[in-house]
Amino acid sequence: MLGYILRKTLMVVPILIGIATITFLLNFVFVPGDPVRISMGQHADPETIEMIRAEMGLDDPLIVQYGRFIGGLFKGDFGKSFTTRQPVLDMVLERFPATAKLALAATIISIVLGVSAGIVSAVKSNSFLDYFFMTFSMLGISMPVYWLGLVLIVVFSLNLDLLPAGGYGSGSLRYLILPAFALGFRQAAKVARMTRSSMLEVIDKDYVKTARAKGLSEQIVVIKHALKNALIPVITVIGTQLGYLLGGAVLTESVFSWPGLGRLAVNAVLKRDFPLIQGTVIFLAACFVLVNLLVDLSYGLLDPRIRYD
Amino acid sequence: MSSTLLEVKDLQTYFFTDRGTVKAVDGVSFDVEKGETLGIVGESGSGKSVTAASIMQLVPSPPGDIVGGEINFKDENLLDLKMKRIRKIRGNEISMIFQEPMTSLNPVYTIGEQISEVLRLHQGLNKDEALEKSIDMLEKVGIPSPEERVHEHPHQLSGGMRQRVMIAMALACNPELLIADEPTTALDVTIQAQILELMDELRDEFNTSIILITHNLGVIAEVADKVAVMYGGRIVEQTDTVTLYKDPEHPYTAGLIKSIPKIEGSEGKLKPIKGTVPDPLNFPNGCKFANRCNYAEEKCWAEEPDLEEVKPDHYVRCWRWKELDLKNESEVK
Ligand SMILES: Nc1ncnc2c1ncn2[C@@H]1O[C@H](COP(=O)(O)OP(=O)(O)OP(=O)(O)O)[C@@H](O)[C@H]1O
Ligand code: SF4
Ligand SMILES: [Mg+2]
Repeated sequence: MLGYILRKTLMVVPILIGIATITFLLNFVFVPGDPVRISMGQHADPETIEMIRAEMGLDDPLIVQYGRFIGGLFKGDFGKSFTTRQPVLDMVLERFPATAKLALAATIISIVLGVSAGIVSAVKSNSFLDYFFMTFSMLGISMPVYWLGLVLIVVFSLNLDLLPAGGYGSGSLRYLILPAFALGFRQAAKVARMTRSSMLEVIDKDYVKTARAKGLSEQIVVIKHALKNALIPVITVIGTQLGYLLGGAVLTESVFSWPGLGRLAVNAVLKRDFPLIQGTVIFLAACFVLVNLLVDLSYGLLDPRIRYD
Repeated sequence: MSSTLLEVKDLQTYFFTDRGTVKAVDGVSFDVEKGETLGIVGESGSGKSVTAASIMQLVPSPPGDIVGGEINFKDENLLDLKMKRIRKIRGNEISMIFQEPMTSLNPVYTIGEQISEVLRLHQGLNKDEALEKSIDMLEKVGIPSPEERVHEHPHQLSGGMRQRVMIAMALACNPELLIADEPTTALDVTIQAQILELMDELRDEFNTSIILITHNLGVIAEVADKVAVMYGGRIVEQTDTVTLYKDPEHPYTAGLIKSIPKIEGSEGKLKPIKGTVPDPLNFPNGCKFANRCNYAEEKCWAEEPDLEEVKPDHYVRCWRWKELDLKNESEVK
């Protein structure tokens, strides 16, 4: 098991280098020409441009730039933003707490709502409640998150005046609620559908019958004996989502003016701030890979038949 | 001297499906005395499992429903009890073992956790006491090095071992009645014999009554005191084991006896009864066995016979039992 964790963790390194390489190359493939000029605009002073180019080593051969870039990553140096001249890593880390908070809140909401709705739907399959939850989750999946966000803003802040319409509120919980729900609802819908189908697969299994025959209460039969067996696909969905969300929920952050990574990335793209784009992409990928690693390891805790060797 | 532990009276369990009503169990009655083993035999679909599930109140509902009858266990009719009381009985006073040992244990918990669970639930043991008792039980059912096995997961055990674990779990709380639904069908022949022997030993040790369900009369012969033969949701013949083998009165029973594979016999060939069980959605009006019976006559097609006591404690559901001499048929050929 320990060996497996180590091996998996080491595997993360080449994956990230691969991603870094791709982002590095994409800059040259998609944006021929001088990135500094592009990001500084048409009318930038040629001297400034030259200065930045020199400072960033953009006149060096590609392979040297690449080596410097990858080498820098290992030292935690993601380069400097073209626009703000700040280290990219600092900018990313500054935004990360807001994104992480939103991602975790949305994930918790999706687990609480999604798993319970999924369980009820499976246990009472084809009942009114089942149809109700599944219709609702279909809505959740097909409804664009910005639209739901706007509806929430209209209802809860404009009409009822209960919660702020946007902003970070220096971290106050009140500001978190609406964006977390807008984002979490959609995730909850996916989690609910996965929980339902996965539960339906185990609910008729012989060992569930055995659990009932032991005299256990229905709650214990369902939660302890059925759910634990149904959990792996559900955890996979939750983990994948969390991985994405940690990279920043672009639309939700825009609708709610949430100062997260998503908006940082969008701004970076709009301003052609290549180091910043690279930095956010690599950071996102790292989050994604790490969450997936955790998900992978959780399988072994859930199902003893899964061996890591 | 014996006293009745379980009395099933005119049990009716139906399934209300989209395609119609399946009368899976229709008017089944039998008694089980203390320390006695009742065998229930019949082909696939005859209602054996549904009968067992009805006693445990484990009939999936919907679509199933116990629509009539009584199940008197000691001095209570189980059908009148609240769910809370039923759960106290399940796994404690009445236990059940299922056909598929490979899938009847929960793959994500250890053997010890699964046996302990029932002990902690019904006997209020703490974790350590329950584990210790689990090891005792594993030892009783003949699992080698139980102290280690108790921490293993089901996938680390063979089918025969898993069925022993199921038996250990079922007997952990020393139930008065054990319902074994085809406990050996999924196992190979030598393991089958071992498991049956084990059940027999444990019955003697704990004085547990057993309902043994199987489609194999050969299995019944080894352990049952009396036998109920089911066909199409009904009992068609019921008597003590010796009489049933020596002197079957129902053509279906005779057919079943003929189909027992005889290991040491001269031909040792299986002779399954020809034809198939009628569609439960579309049972005929007359005797349900008529389409397969060599002796069917007009009356058989027209009207279903009642279960008749032909000799003391020997019940038969056949119009022609008196005229037919099935003894020879089941012995010879
Ligand atoms: N959940 C269900 N829904 C609909 N019909 C059912 C259900 N369970 C059982 N039945 C029907 O009840 C009848 C009796 O089934 P049962 O399982 O009791 O047979 P059995 O004698 O145990 O057969 P086997 O030897 O195959 O286990 C069958 O016709 C079956 O189709
Ligand atoms: S009643 Fe008739 S058809 Fe039915 S078993 Fe007896 S002889 Fe055969
Ligand atoms: Mg069955």
